[in-house]
Amino acid sequence: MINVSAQTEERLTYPIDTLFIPHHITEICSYYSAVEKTQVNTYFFIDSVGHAVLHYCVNSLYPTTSFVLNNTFSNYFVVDRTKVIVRYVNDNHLYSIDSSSIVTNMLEMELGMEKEQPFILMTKPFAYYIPVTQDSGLLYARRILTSLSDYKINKDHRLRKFSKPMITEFSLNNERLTAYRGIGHYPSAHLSEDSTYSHYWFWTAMNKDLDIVAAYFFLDSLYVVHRNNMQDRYPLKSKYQYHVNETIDPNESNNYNYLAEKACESTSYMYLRYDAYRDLYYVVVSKAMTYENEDGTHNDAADKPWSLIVLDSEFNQKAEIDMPNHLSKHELMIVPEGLAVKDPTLSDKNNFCFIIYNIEL
Amino acid sequence: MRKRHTLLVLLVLWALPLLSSDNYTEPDPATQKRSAFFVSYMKETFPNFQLTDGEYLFILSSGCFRCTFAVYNYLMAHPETVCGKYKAILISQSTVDKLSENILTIDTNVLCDTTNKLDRMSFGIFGVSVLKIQNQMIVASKSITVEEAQKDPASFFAPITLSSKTSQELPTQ
Repeated sequence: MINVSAQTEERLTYPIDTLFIPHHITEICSYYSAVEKTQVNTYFFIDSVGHAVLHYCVNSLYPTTSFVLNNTFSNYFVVDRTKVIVRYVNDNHLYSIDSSSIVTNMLEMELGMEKEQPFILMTKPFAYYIPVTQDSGLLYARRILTSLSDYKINKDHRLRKFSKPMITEFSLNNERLTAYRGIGHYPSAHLSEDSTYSHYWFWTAMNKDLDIVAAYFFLDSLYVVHRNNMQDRYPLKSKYQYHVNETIDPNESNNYNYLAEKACESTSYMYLRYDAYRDLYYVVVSKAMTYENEDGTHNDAADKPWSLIVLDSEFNQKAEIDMPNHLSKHELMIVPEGLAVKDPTLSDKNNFCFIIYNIEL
Repeated sequence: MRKRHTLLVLLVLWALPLLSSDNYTEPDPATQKRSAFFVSYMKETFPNFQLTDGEYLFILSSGCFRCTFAVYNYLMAHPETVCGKYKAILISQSTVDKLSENILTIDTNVLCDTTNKLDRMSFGIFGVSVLKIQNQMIVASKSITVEEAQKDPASFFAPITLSSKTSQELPTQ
């Protein structure tokens, strides 16, 4: 790893622009689209009549196309600028919706051998499922880990689940979505006897070679699943991580105070992003902080100070940049000019302000 | 005879503190600290409220919010579950905003913290919780579990007995 001095870091990243999105946006994703062959940002907001509107933004923070969805959707999968697949609450069918927001197809779903393994179609940005299609019409979805609390206390159940592949590949045509194969395997830490963590799920990004990159909250490694289903591991280590993250006490896995304290006092890795313009990867480091304050208040893990690890195209860690704490680590998008980070101090309920940071190595 | 009576009274007076000290367990430092936080928070946030011994119900934004929402729906349908049972029901404005203003009408003793500091207080509880207070000290606490919230919310609102296994019993006087 190259150690970068504070002075050098200032040259690596500095604000160059400010942009406003005139909505209260949620579920932000920023990813390389193999269909668009460039960077795409997507996010939701609720319009004045209560519909959920999905903005699909190519090379921008502003929409190329938009999809208006009935608000009762349970999950969705953006295929490209012309199509989104939606599943509604209490409805097991999948609907293909075009950019005029008209339902064009009802799709059959064939899970085949994957029946035993529930999956979710895209996309909560927190978990950041892989929202990408390939030219050949393949889709990827992270396998959902049902009953997480059960994983924490039921070792056999956990070991059985984590012995299966971590991602499901689907083929898609106009009539059906078919589970095709499982790819990638979970880190060995998940399979060890005493590996009880607060979170097992992972952040994902897909690069231009269509490798799937995964980062885990409490593991200091990046995992790369290649097209041939081979898997590599690369070191990922924050300068603020002073010790190996502890596992949690399984008996306390339903004690939210305990979990909140652990989350606050651990260094964690979040929001893996691939920047297709610069062929770089970014990982947010959420630095450890004290949970309980002298005055009887406690801190929230969501407010932990943060830095940004930058890795090059070969997964070499090139820099760790301290980010201003008033900026939100939870709302990051990538645009041609750099990294867009939400500034809550300049935002209000209906107007989100993003500072664009230049990033160069 | 009179001397004997006097001696007996003196003996009893001397023995009483000893007997009571046999039952006395110093609260652990964490409980002492949280109790002090609670007393000070109540004084600062609700200066007109008189803190007395009994149970206090909390509806907090922390923990499993789906569970809190399930309990809210249950309570709106069965307000008698909590009516008159608690010294106060504490909730923050931001939790009211997430649930509904209707929660403020569940009983006459709902205290709403408009500063939202309640959600940041370190009382050792989360979600829907109860603190039992004696002599300005937390003597027991419990927070609703996912199972209770989904299957049997009513049972959670049974008074805390200090021998109850479900509550976290805290060593105190």
